[in-house]
Amino acid sequence: MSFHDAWEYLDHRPRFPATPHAIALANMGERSSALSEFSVSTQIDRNDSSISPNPSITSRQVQGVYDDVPLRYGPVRNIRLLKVAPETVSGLIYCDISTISIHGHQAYTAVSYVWGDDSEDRTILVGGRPFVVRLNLWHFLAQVHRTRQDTFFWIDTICIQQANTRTKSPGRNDGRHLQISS
Amino acid sequence: MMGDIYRSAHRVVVWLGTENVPFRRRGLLDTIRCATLDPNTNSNDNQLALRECMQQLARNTYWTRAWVLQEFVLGAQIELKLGCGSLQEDIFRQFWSCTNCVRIEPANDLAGEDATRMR
Repeated sequence: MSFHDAWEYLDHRPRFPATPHAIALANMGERSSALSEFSVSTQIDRNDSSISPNPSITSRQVQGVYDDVPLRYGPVRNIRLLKVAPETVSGLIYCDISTISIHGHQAYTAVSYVWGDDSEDRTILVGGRPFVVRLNLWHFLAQVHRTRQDTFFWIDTICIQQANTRTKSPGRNDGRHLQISS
Repeated sequence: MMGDIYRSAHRVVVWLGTENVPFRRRGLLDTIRCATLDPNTNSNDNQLALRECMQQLARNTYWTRAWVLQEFVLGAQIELKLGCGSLQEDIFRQFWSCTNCVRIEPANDLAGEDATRMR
């Protein structure tokens, strides 16, 4: 995928994917993500908390954030959305996180960005709990905060429980695959 | 799942990162907007500006992401953001058609390495 590929597709973009390549990619994404999310839910049901096979401060914090806003699985598909508060808390960017039905009427903005390497992290607060994000995403949130955007955002690394999809997705253990599938 | 999320989104923001040294002083996305909306789109100066913008944009690490395509194909209205600049999809489409005779491969030898490292 290059810059030109991306924009050529955009240039001829129908409402839904038209090329076999695009459809294959889209289906692959939906299947693998659905599988990962399902794995996450079963893990939580069986083991309550403290189940991370590789415990670290980050994964415990992440677990706490998602305990507060669980996704219910059923006919109605829910997603988590976040909003950047106009104020900071203890100098940290503060995000409210909530769940909505994807088929509801709540307008939201999906964010597409490069994760970047993990050499530089920043801490933010999500639902009052510390949450570690990589620098590139932090810059985005800081920009949203500066411009006081009152918008619901969907951001993969925060709205999907990444730490556990990593450990529970068979054959998708390395970071690169995880990122592509999400 | 991901397809649904992008398809149902009201808007997709493409975050291209920060811009420490603003391109041509005013920033890349602003420059693109001005060059695209300039009534003298075909003047030499403007063609040069458009070409430089295209090269600069193509250099961005964002395009090395493997998953860009799905978000573009499925996404709702797209907005590019770079630093404090932003560009709506309709202006970008105009920019794209102004420059569609220009084909620049990302002239970055590190592109492959970045793709592995960054995503």
